[in-house]
Amino acid sequence: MRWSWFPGHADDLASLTLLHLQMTVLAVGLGILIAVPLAILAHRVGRVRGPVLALTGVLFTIPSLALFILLLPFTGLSMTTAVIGLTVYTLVVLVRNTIEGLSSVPPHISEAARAMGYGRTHVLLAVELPLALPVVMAGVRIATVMTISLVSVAGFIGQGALGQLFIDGFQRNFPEPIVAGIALTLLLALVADVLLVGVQRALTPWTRR
Amino acid sequence: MKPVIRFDAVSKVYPDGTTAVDTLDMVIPEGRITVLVGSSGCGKTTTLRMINRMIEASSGTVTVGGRNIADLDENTLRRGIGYVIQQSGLFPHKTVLDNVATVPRLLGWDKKKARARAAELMETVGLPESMADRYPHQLSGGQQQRVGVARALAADPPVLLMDEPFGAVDPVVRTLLQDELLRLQSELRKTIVFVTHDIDEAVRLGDRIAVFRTGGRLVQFAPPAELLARPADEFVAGFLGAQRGLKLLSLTSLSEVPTIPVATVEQRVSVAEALATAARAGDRWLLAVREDGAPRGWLDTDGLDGTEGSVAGHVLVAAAAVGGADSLLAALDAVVASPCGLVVRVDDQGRVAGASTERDVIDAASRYRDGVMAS
Repeated sequence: MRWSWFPGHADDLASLTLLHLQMTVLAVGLGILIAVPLAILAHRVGRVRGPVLALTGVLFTIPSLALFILLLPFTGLSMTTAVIGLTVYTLVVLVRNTIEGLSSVPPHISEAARAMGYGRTHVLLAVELPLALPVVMAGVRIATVMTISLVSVAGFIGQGALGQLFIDGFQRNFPEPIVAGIALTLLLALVADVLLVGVQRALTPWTRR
Repeated sequence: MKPVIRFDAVSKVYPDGTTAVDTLDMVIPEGRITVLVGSSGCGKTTTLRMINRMIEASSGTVTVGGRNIADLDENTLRRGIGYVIQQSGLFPHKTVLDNVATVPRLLGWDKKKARARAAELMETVGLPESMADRYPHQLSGGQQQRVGVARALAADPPVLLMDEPFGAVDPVVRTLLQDELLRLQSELRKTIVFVTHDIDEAVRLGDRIAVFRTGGRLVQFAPPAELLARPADEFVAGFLGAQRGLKLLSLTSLSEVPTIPVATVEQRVSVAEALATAARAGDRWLLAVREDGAPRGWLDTDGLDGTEGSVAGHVLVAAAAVGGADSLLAALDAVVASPCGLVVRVDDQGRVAGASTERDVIDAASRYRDGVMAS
């Protein structure tokens, strides 16, 4: 192990970490934007629930490499391809947890809100979604950590961010980039999770007392 | 909006053919507590929920203050009607103060004004200010119900719907909450519709009681005394239960029962002195009293000759006392349990004011019953 390699490549490592983070935020962010409306629909319309869960479940079972290859004809070897693939994988957790969160709201609380003169949308925004938040946030945490580890797989289409280091190190039989890639991926996952716990605590003060 | 609620030929039939409420005609009086009772599945909750359109009537009309509620916007209607349910239905993610401020906020009050009003309401229902920033799960069941009542009253609605609000709290707290509701009502004079399956609660709270039977039929709608004295049929009599006569006595006060003087003795005096008092009065039983004038217990002077010590150190039989706020039922209970056929009467400060005889209590009970029957 040549320790001098690490400080010598600090700039590269930093920009790869940032790229890794960007791809994760994009994928999870898009995932939330798609999953929450889908989950609300599934929660409201009983008939939609089964198909939505089945669809996101099936998408999740497509091997990641195969999914990237399927997207190649449309979006090429681009970051878009990687992010679309990663977003699709977040859906299974995000949709399931959001539906779960909404179902966990005691019916009598939504009823009481209606009886006091809240409209249906108002109940959803002011009562049901906030109460679903702890379960939704648990899903966001899983999806984030999962995505951070999955980004590496996009290395096969040249969009692996920190995962690029594994491929690079492996091809050149060169351990330093592999070690750096693993360490930084782990660190990123850990920091992201701690930050999300902080966000959840800030958003749900009532669960702390 | 004049807060009087009218049901005209109202029915609720579900798609599967179940009739929850069957051609109901009822006028709920303004400023009174109307209690809907009946066993489960009799349509009492359905009836209540048709008033704020949480359930829509299948046919017939419900009017509140002369306006057909079907013509009103449901959210506007509901903001003008307070609603309290058994599980409190408080928002777990909002503080107590913000829970109470809910309806004023919905009505567009600014946050500061709504919170000031909420703080006022918390005081009205007897919740300490320190609870304002807590979350509902940090409160006891009884406290949560108080918050529920405060929330329902926050926008000062003329009508209050209460669906078994005290059903989930223990009996001691329930009695306390019932007293509080009666106290609030004496100040606020709301039109309250109250659902319960507990006939004792209905008798205690109701100015009028509506008895429903399975199939959603209203069987009798009358003031409690009339209901107890003259149940419309076997079903109502059965629902009122075994102690119908005694329940009737719980509805009247002691004012008609004469008070006679009673031989008392201070508990700190010696037994010898007490015996002398008993001899002068010609009574076997003396009422021992505390220094502050409150009754301590009955002293049996028979066979006490030559006993040393004070009255306080002697065996006394508990003396149940009744005051101005107690019912004839309480007096009857006390006089039956008394060793000497007398019930102790106390004044507002709890001091002995005299006693009443068993005969006088029972006579008053008969006169009251005859009066109710004749009315």
